[in-house]
Amino acid sequence: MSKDSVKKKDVILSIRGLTVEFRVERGILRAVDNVYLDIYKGEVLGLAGESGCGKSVLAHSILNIVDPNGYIKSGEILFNSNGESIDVLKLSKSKLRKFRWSKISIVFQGAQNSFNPVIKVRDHFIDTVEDHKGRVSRKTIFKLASKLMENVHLDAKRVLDMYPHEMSGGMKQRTLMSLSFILNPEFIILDEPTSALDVLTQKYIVKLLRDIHEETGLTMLFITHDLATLAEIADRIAIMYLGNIVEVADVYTIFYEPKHPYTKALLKSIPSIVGPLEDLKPLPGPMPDPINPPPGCKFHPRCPERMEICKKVRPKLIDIGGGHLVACHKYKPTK
Amino acid sequence: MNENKIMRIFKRILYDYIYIPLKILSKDKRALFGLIVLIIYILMSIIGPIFVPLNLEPNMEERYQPPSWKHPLGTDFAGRDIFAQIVNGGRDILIAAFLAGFVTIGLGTIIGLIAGYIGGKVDIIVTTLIDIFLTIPGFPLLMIIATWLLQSGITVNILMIAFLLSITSWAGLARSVRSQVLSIKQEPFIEVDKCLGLSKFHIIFKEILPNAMPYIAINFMLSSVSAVYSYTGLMALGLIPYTPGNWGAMIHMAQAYVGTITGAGCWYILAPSLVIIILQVSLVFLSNGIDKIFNPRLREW
Amino acid sequence: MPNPLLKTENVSKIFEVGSMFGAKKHIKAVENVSIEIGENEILALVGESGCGKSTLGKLMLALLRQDSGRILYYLNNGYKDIWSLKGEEFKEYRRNAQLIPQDPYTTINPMRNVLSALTPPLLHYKIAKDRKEARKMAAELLTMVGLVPPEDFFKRYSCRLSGGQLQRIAIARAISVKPKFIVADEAVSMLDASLRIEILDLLLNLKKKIKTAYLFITHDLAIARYFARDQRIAIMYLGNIVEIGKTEEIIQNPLHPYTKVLLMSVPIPDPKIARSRGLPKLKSLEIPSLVNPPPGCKFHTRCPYAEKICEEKVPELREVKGRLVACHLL
Repeated sequence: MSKDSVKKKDVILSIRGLTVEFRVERGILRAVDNVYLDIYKGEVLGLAGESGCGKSVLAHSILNIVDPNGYIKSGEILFNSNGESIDVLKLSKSKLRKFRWSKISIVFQGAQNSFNPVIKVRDHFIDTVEDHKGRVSRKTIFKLASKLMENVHLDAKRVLDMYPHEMSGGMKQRTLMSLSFILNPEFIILDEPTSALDVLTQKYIVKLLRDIHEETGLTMLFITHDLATLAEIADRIAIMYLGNIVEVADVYTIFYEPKHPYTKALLKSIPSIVGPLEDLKPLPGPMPDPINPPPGCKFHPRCPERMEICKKVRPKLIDIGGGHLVACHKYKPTK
Repeated sequence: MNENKIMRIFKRILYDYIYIPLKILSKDKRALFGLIVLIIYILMSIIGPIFVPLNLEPNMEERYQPPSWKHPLGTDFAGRDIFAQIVNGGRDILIAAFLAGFVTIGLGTIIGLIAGYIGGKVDIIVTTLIDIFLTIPGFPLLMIIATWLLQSGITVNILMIAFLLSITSWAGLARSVRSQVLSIKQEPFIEVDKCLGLSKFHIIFKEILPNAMPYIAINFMLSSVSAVYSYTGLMALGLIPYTPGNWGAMIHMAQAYVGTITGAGCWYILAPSLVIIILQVSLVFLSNGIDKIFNPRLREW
Repeated sequence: MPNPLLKTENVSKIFEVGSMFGAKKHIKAVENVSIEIGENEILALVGESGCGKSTLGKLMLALLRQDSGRILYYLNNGYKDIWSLKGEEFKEYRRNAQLIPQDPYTTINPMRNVLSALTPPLLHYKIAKDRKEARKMAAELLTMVGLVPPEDFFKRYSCRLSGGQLQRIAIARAISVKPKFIVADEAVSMLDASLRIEILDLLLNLKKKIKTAYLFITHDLAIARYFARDQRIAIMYLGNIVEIGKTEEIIQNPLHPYTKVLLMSVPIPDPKIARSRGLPKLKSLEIPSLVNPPPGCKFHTRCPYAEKICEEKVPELREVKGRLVACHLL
């Protein structure tokens, strides 16, 4: 997907003012802090940030599956499909169940835990389909499943009869992906889909996802702490820091012309197998305590470009032109 | 050792072993309650007998008196003051219980540590031994041994009683200490310790043991509770020679002479029973707070 | 190289897995590995999880015993098998071979505070003559690794420290006895991306002060390139070393097919390059099991260039273009 096609498109998911908090021993942890984010139909949006920045919580909130300790304090999540706009957070339990997996699907981190260890793979497919579509002929289900598994280079005849523990990590991840696609969702969330895999399999899965995206135009939200992976697959990237979105731009801009100091520092601190090594610099200072974040801009204690105002006022996410959003006092919005 | 050093060591002991544990316990209401009750019992056993001397002369006119100013808990079947008996009987019970607790955790810890760290054939032998002791029913065995001792005419002192009471209880602790040792042995910090050349002794007692301490400390409390029941139980059944005024003895006598929970003379059975139960409850409450003392991760600061 | 500090000769390690009643399975974690580490040099050991790199590191530290082959340590102008060392000689080897483990949260005893993690080895090796001096030295060590003021950290436990701080303490522990050789086993893998460079720079700076050789184990080629720049890299696959040589040479011009495939798969933080790279040709995505490894060259089941000889004969490490590669096709 090229840079231009991301311009004026339909917004398939709009997150407005989402705040998610957790009650912990030491106080209240605000994992997601008043986040506004639009995801366009047919794009691959990468959501990147370090551990603890809130990206996983954000993803889970989209399907209203936050951890028991946590609660959604405020905000709306509007899903636009077939001309109508639904607030996911206001759906009743039964409607939500129908919604999950058929409209929006999610591939969790750590595929091993997503399977029921005592039933075979074929039964996972049957259960999922029947749960949503009622009784469907087994033949149809397996035909569909086989085609999906072929796409991810799995031998359907073998895999369908396996139990989850008989599969390797890579196989489980690919099976989970097939399972996520079986109901033909419009939008799929991938939470660290490649973290637990070896490098070679990772490369294949990413290429696979690119191919599937090219073929079907499926919208994807790709969450990872590894920015380098996003260089290959994302159309746009959103960077998160301590619960806030600090920058959103298309993939080339993020890597070649980042504007937010955190993005710049993050990029400079990732070693790579190409490029000179002298350019790398560590990010200064420790990560602040998420329960008591710094006042004003949360990044200001570590920011090499901070100004007086950064210590007092939290910067808003503004558009500085061409859909490039930054939350930093150094920049002014374009009219 | 000069004065400075002695002062420093004293201060350290005061701080580490008294101030900090108290501070930790004070945050847990139940543990604090347990501690206070226990201290009351200990004080009662030490200085109580000075103020409330035991008078075992029968006084038949005053049998089965209900509580009054003269006899706060009433009198027994021979007209003797129950309160005095309670106060004086505490000593034996507390000593036996805590001694038994120490023996249990001492045996259990050493055996568990050895089996876990050394492994191999030693481990197999010890584990089999532990399993055998775990299957032997504790109290019935005690009853048998107690009866035999009674008939054999061997004089039984308090240390022997303590050992007897822990005859099977050490096995459970040994098994769990062993499994803790097995899992801690694999941890990276133990590998680093080995690289740093630290001795086996240091690793077992200074690195592995602290990890097992919370469990051992709680086990101490619970072993003491179990020892109290075993001890008073044996006496209540009349199986070991007792000194008069001992709580278990009181229950035994009460069964023989009175045996009712209400009506005249009921205090003779109620007083020792209540006193035992309150002791047990306070020990259990205290054991909840002990965890925090030995496990720095659970502390709030 | 002249007089390497530590070398392994045809070292193998087999793990037995299986219950008492079933057939025991054998996992060849390390097979026939011969490498050398010179004084004050860095050798990065790169491979994917399960390839045996951690096992090799532990073998070189005598934390595990090899099943065949020898591990030799240079002592008193000669090489001695580390398992034959006794007394003072063993103490000397033991002191000079240290470990920095992967998980920062289990690198110090969670039940003991930072001070008690640092002082025992100082007292044991009589580097400090009493508790007071050990405490002073512990403060110096903490300052060296960037934890200031050190007194703030003495009484803390691992539950109240961050991953970065704990890893620094792990480094302080390792260097406290001034060893000649340190195995860093995925030392930065569990830290946040932005912290990694900081810790690696710390290790490099310390290396300038205390001349130490490193065996730097990692699955991340980019990190290996950063840490072992101008030094050497060894690539490991399923228990064998497949390529070993100068870092930049291997990265720019890999010779072994596995190394080539690895380099093609490592994510690159540059969209233009990343999106124009093709997919490495692999015959299969499945990693062979370690219990029944493929005969001949273990990579032949996935190698795009595999030929008949690769299925039959195990390739040996031979010198090709100034480095060692184990491949029949070169």
